[in-house]
Amino acid sequence: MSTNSNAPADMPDDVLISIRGLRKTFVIKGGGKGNSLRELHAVDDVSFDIKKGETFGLVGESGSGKSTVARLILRAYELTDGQVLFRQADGSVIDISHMRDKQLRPIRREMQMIFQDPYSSLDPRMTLLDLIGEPMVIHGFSKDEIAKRVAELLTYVGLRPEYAQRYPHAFSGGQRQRIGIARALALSPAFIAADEAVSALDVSVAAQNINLLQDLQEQFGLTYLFITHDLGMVEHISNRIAVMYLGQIVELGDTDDLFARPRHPYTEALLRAVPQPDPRKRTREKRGALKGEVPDAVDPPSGCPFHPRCPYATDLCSSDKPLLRQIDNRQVRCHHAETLTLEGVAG
Amino acid sequence: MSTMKQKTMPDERLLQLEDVAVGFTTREGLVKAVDGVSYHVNRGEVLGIVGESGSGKSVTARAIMRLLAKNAREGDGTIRFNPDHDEEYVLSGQPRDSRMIRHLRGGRIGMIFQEPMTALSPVHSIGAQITRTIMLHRRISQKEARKRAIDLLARVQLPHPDLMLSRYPHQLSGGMRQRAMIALALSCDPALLIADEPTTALDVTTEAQILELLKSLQEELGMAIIFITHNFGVVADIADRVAVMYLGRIVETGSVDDIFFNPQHPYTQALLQSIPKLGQQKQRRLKTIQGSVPDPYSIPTGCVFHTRCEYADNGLCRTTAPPSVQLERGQQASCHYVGKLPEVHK
Repeated sequence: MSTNSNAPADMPDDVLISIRGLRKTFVIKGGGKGNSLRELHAVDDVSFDIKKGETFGLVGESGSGKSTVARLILRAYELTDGQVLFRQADGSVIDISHMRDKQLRPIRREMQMIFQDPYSSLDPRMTLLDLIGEPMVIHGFSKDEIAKRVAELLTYVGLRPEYAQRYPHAFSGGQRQRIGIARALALSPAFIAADEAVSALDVSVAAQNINLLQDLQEQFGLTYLFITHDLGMVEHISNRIAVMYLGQIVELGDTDDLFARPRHPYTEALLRAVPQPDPRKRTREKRGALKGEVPDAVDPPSGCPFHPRCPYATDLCSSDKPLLRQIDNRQVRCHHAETLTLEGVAG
Repeated sequence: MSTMKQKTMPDERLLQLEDVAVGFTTREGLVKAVDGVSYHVNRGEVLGIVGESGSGKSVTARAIMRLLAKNAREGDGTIRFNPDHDEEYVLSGQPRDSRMIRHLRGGRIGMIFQEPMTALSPVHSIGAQITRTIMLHRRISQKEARKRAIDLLARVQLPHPDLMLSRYPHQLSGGMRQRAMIALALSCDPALLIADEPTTALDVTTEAQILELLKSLQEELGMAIIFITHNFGVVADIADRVAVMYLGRIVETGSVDDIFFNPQHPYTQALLQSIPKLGQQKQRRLKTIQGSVPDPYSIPTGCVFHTRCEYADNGLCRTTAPPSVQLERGQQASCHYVGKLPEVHK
């Protein structure tokens, strides 16, 4: 299935990262009778390209595998199968999916991550100087260089350089998130994966940090993978979006088009489920269309994994697994994508 | 002393808070978490309370339920509750385990929380917890209580309610636990359900299901709901009236339509504009509110919002707390410049 990892396939010039046939299988205990080991396909044949300078949104509910995809790209997890192609600063393309730690080190400078919880992701015993400068220590910068760079980074994220000697507890949730952003920027990466980066923040503070992320993207030409369950936020920030369900991409396309005219029933259901800040949209028929819960990933349904919850499912859906197909400008994993007329959100 | 024979509230009024204040004594001093909050809930209506963290929305609810922490200090405000068009109970000042409170809490007032495991015991089956609650408040046999428990579990649309009785919370998914907690809260036909961020931890499709369930139960049972959330989308979906809280105060109240289409307080206006709405014309930048919520040890003087308000002046707003200005249709906003602010465009 996967091609030779030493021969990076063709990758269009405007693409920074291309993941191909990505798989991650966790082996877990139990789930069935006795203590048998079972396989959980957290990420199941996921492929997409992230273009240089764009924000690629990855949405899905808990257990959809969206965070696992990010961790595989950053090689925080070992992947089970697939390729992660990365375009280096000099334009050359390498497959980092099976690189060893030592080979990976220069690549890691280019790829960083911002986490959801600004409390647990910052060591309370380290000053901001130590926290933000830590990646630079690892990469062998001098003390002076680090102090100078940290002061600079703090101003980039809207904090005062004097704060470098303080500890994280002195800062609010939104400010801590900015500390995390400064740390991610320390080594001037090309790519940042933001995993639910503003989900824990208050509304007004989340808006500030989203604006900051967009400013930084413009300023430094950053490429983002933005992972969230918040569809309003992902629509605002992303150029393109992939929707995941049970470890697979069910739909991928340009943000505006995808939200205005979804082609997969799950995308439609997600958009319908979002409570909108508009009392006029409160109609009973419109809401609650989706029945049931996300199935157990260890024991996924036959055929299309969405079929037990899908209002449009037919016999074909319970027997045959749909493939991800290209339809116009869209990728859709649904047998009936051509014939369904689904409702999006008005533009 | 605790109940009053003569009525002070109009008949449609179920709950009324007047000038409720709650502080906490800490090592750093007194923290005023709630400072002069007044609101009411009419019978059968859904009041949405929105606010960011630290706004005091949950503390106010805990004052109603008499579940305040040990270091809480209450002011002179009153909380009146009249569940049966009959006696008016004065909840304020009651200790958490008084006879009256034990009768009301879990009986006439039900509660649901964000995290079901705070309400459900991990070591007792769902059935045991519900039947025990029912028998605590009603003189019925175990058999009847069991029957009612099955009925309740069916009402919250749990599959196989009879089998569900013997299940333990850890065997259920997040959404199912939330349903079990709702069944527990409804076990004694409450007149008031206090729901504190009950859908915040859920996925959107599960959230939509739970909101739908709460709405249909509310219609069916005619109970009133205080729905606490930070999510304006959820409020728009479920509330009849809305109270917006900031730093322990209510800055604006009104019908759900007035709050969303005719907000009068700068804080409400700014919050509504800072949420990216689905399907909206894309703007490059989101509207923000400058700074962050001040910490509760150093609450600003005058209008508590003046440090972040784009319209604040250097005089009145900084020195004087604004009055609560009465507007049409029961809308109220606490701002010196109500009616004089620029029109908000949507």
